Amino acid sequence: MPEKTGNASATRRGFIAGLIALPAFRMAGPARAADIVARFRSLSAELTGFDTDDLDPALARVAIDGFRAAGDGAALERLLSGDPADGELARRIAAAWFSGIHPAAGGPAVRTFRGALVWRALGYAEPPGDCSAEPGDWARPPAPAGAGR
Amino acid sequence: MTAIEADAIVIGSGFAGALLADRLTGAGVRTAILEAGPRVDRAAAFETFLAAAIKTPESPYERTPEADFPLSHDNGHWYRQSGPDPFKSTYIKAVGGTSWHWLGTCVRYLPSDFRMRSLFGRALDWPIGYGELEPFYTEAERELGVAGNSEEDQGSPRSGPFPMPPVPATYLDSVYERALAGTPWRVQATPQARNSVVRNGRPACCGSATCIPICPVGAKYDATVHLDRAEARGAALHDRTTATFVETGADGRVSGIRFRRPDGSGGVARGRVYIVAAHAVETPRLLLHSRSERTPAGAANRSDRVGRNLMDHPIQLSWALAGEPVWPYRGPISTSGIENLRDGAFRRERSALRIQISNDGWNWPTGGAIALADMLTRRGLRGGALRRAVADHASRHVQLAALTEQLPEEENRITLDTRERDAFGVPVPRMHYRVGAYSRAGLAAAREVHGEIFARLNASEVHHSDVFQGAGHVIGTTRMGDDPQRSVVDRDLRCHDHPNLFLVGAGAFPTGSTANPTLTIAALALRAAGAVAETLSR
Repeated sequence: MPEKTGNASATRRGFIAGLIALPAFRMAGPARAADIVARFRSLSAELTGFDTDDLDPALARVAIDGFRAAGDGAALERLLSGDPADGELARRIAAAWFSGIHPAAGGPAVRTFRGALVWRALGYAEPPGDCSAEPGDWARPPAPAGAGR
Repeated sequence: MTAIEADAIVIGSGFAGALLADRLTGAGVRTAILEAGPRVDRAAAFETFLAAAIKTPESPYERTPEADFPLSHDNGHWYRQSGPDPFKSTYIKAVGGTSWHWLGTCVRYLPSDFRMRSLFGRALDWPIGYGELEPFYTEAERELGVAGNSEEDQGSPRSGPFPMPPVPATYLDSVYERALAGTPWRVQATPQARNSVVRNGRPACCGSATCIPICPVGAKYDATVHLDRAEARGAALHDRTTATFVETGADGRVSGIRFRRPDGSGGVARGRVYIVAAHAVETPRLLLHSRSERTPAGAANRSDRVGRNLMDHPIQLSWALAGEPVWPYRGPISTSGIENLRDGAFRRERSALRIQISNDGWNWPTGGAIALADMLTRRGLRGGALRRAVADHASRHVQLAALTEQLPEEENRITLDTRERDAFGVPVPRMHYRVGAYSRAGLAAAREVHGEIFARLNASEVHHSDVFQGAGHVIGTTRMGDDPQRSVVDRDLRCHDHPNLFLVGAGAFPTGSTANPTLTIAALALRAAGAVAETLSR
């Protein structure tokens, strides 16, 4: 059963603005890679309305690799440096988190199904393929959010 | 060369082949089943589906050059299309056949469906009537395990109750029911071969919501239920074994069926009686390819009707955003329908409608919840607004699918492609297909009805697909009839030309009705079992 997530932090925007101001791309090696993942997750949190903690770092790495493999590497670096110009790339990043389908060298690929954010956004239904919480519960409206199940 | 020998040779292991094999082995008949496709590992196929970027009905299932099949998202794969319309319905090759990815709907034909010529001046009557098939409908419901409301009249009189109580209707269904109270449209529970309770060692439906393309728990009936029992009784099931040619003797009887395998081996399967149950594309393809001195137009084809009268249930798909949450994407993909538009004097002029109320939101037309953020981000939504919009939008997704009746036309047909052949040298199927005015008038009527129903739901974002969809129902290509000059099989599904060859499946249907065909396939197969047994006892 997906965990219910809290509301977005009011201070997150300021936090991300600070992160983006860092000179990320002068760093090298693992430190830089980790920084890019952190920036990507922060940006993604802004774009999706989920908390950074909700965004799996491993999936973020896969996503970054996928966008690079699909030819969006330079645009991604600009976006992570705080250049908001590429709205279309930002849009696709948001959509990828919700769908679990990310770009890859050979075309879009399912990187996660059960972990796609859409199921957590819905909140009331299990990811398809998983049994309902209780057989026949589909006959009733779902329990109100926060009431638990 | 290898040989397969049995009393009964069954080609194909879907609904009809599995039921026949089960009946025959139950009567002690030595039975061999030849299936072109591989065995399916349910858990592995389910994971393949989850990992598939395009979640079509075929997506979980292995496809090889030796057992290729059509694809829902590519009309030109396997089928060669001559038009003018594309033929869109598909099938798979696997042990259990296309029963793996059917929805589970088990609607009976109406008595009037058998009498289109007499009652409406259209097409032709069946050689048998509802009354003759009714006991076998009841038997088929027991075999497949149909859950339904025995008290509810759906226009097809019943001699016995459903073997299981109905699967609970969804909350979404109840919203329709409330909204349509006092209108001509009656929402009814759909009879379905899906366990509502634990039955015969299979679990009750737990609401995985992936009936198409695969039930992960086996609560939905598929033909492996009867194949397993037939094998336990001694049936020899040969997977990855493709029938390529029907041999006939001087006496007019079938003498053997040649087969080939991916490993290069091949041989002839010999029995006393032969049952081809390879669905309504591959059965005529096999027959048409079986040309010989004795059968110059192909096996069973003195009538020139093999492959003709191809039908589907062209579907009007419509979807919208209900005015209030209906909480879709839960439960079986469909649990209710509107059945009272399936009959009426209007059938002289246009097709009847069977409207399926879908629980799976916008999956079919748009990719559903998974594709939703892509759409909403294009509207400029980001962040918390996007997240909230995804939740709200998905909770209000409604979709209706109206099945129309397509009249039989001789020029709607499957032929053999003159150039391209498959891995075993058999020509690939060429589809000649046109959705005629009768069905198109039904599609137009469906758009109107759908629009009015959506208005009752205070819906916005109303969409009507401007192209028809395939229903996945392939019908009519080995027509049943009393006249050997005008039909391929008789009322027992025995070929007029070959007394020991039976063709089971929806190919036999003279007309298509608006009912999903599986229960009628099963009833006809169970009825034919008697004639097969009688042939063996001669």
